[in-house]
Amino acid sequence: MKRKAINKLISLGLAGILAAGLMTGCGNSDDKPSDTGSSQSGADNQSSAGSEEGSGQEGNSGATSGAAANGISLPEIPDGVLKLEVSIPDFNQTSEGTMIQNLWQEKMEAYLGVKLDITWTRTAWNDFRETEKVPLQAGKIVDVSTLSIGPAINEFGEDGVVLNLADYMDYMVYYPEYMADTNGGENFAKNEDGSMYYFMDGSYNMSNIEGAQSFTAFAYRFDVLKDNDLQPATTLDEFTQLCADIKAKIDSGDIDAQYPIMNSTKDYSLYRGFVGIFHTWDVLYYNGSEWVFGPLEDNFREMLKYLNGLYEAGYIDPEFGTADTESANGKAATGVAVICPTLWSGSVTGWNDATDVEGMEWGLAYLPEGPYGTSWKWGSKQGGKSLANGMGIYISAKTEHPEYVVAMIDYQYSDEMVEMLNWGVEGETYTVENGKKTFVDSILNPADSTSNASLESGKYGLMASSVCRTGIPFTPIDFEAMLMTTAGSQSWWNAEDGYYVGDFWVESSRLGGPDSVSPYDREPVMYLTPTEQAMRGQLRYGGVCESRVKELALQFITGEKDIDNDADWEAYIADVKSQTDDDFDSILETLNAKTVK
Amino acid sequence: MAKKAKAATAPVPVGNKKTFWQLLWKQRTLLLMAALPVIMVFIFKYVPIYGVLIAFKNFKASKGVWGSDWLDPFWKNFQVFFKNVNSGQIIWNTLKVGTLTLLFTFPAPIAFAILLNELRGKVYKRVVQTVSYIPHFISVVVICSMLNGFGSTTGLFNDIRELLGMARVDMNNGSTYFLLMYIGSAVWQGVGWGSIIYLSALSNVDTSLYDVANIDGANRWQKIKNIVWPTIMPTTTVLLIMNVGNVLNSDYTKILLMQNDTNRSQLEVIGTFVYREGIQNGRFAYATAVNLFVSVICFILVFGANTITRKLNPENSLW
Repeated sequence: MKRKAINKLISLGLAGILAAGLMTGCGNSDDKPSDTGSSQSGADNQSSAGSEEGSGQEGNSGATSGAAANGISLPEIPDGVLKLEVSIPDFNQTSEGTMIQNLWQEKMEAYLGVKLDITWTRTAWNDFRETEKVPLQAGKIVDVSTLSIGPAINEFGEDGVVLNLADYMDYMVYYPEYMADTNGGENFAKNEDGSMYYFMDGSYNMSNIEGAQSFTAFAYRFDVLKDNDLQPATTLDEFTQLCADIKAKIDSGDIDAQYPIMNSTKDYSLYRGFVGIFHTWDVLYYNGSEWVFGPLEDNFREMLKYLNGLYEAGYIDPEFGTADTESANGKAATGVAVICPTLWSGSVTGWNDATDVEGMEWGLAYLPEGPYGTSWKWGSKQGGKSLANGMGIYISAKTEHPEYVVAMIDYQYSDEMVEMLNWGVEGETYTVENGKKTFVDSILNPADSTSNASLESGKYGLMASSVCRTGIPFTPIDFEAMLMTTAGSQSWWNAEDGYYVGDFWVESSRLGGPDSVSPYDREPVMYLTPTEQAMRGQLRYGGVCESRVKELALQFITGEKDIDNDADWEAYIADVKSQTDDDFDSILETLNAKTVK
Repeated sequence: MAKKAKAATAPVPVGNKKTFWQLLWKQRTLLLMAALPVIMVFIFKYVPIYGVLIAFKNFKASKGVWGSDWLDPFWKNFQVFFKNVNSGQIIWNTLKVGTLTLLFTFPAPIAFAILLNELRGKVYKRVVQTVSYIPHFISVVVICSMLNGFGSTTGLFNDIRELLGMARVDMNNGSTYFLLMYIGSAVWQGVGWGSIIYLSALSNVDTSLYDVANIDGANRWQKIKNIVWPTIMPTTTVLLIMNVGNVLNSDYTKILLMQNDTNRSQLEVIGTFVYREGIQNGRFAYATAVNLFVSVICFILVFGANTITRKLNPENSLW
């Protein structure tokens, strides 16, 4: 009997625990963000932040000015504590607990004149991007959040979910400077009706370097080229000849590789490295006079013909469309191929670090010139202070103290905050000589041989590290600071200087020159309703047309479909156009009609 | 008449009749145990049903499910899906993948359980059983990464092809080898785990039946046919009916991970489409409509499978 009773008690206990677990699982309160396991209360953080007001370092202190000194009149908060829930992505290195993140809070409190009690929700960047529309669609957003959906946020602004920042211009001092200096001016940052639903990603490029980082250079095995008396190509004809030479040497056993060309990942279509050479693009783009869908242009067909020629000649690794990043990294590091035309330029450093092949040296050379003159690069920076509309920060319409939150985000655009977030603290992370800032030696030349300037600066939470983003991303990156942590990390080649060490941001700006800045990167302002933006989305990256193009273009490259056959080309155009929910041509007509030139 | 006769012969409890509440109290432990899954199903399966409404609405988060305006016409989202030039291909892909997966993954655990049941060495049997469960616990991401590597021109599958005198091919290119890898890995992952329920059913076989069969001189095949199979038949039927209902719910995460530019349109199934539209593009209402369409088809399939079963063998049907 006793045993039976004990068994019953155990059963009841287990049932109770299970029930409690079940209830916990569904007990997510309305507006609280789910615990990501890395959420942290800003209040808990205050001791490590040393958040006594006015304790900022001299020369960096926002306390010397403050919102009030800027003419901003903030309403009083009864207990003097601003409680916020903030959702941000985490990049390679989290900003949580870093020196700069703590200083950010300290300076922000001094500027706003209140204590900040922030509950941070941090999500890995890729996961963040994948699901960021979910809380917006569900209407369960926190006070402040990073965004990467660009103007698509306007739909939620018009629905009243997101705060209209235009109603709070009185609480901004610094952001309007960026608005004014951007190509297109204030029109770029605002909608047609004057509304403005997010702070855009800022760039602080006082050296006016118009460089880019992806699809701006081809990667070559410099060691192989040097050993075989070859050199990178400056024109497409030279490139074809180079591939032929390499193939011949592979076949004869002089070069230990399998193919002349490989791709860096299946996530980038191989042709993405070539579209700029043929003065077109692989999705919707502005060609200098109107909006067009690049993959339907004759230039794009010409490019596919060229790539088909390379493929038919056996120059391209057949796994160019299927090998994932990990597999492609393995190919690069083990010497499967000699050229990689489509890549993020920083990849070469990783391949050189990862290889076991003695003397392997991947390096970069600017895109070879195509049939239409200087090749276009993608994603080139604007000079001075500027805004880009792809990323940013939005504020919930339900936030309790919008005036404070607007002033807080605006302050992130101030010169002093940009300096602190990018350079850190004078004497500790950087020094100034003859007016020029330099990071301290422990950052630039770390004792640990496995580390580098980027990783070291990331440990402090410096934005310039490119691996860590502090404050509430996206805050402006100081281009000069960033270059200092990444400079000299790649081998470069050009016809005049030969082989040397350089940085892709600087070299792509210098070697490409002003003509290499594509009209796509300086697109005009367009006023679109949310419905029109959704229409446009079908022709942009991630849209239905791009997905279809990637699949069909590959068939042209491999010869499964005949690129010289007009009927095949017409069928391709019809297929791509049929993918949109709305009439394809009318989408382009709408975009052109809504463009403010 | 027969019913009346049966009723007349049934034992009637005299003087010990319990009330409904007394019966409940007596079975309280069982009820408490049953309450948990019932609560779970209610909360996670029934309560969200009201959200289906957004399939017919111009859903705005600020207005909520009830406050959002009805679409005009209210079936507009379904119209959009069927007007999509790819919808036919997507539905066909889903049916193809689902049906072939069911065809191979359903009988495999049964065959495996029967074979295990025939093993005499207890230790060996347990080792095989345990080893066969392990793949079930491997993450789909790891499985797909393995498939990607094994299917590459320098991968394991191509090493085997070469040993067999076949040429090396990029098995991740196009959709030629997709089904082979998708279904093959599903069988590999599920065969051990899926056999548990059949092994459990087989453990209830009356051992005297085997003794009788031995006396009659039955061979192994005859024992399987006349003893084992009838024992697991009811379990098999119930599971088949439930699996038929899932034929359109293919493992979209696995497909998503196996997609690349060479096979995207051939590998797009309703699950991947709903994920892309709903989660990535934030079109909740549209994705809900497409998923509702799938649910309706699944319901019809379950209903149809059960009706057929009931006609063939009423004892084995679900209802």
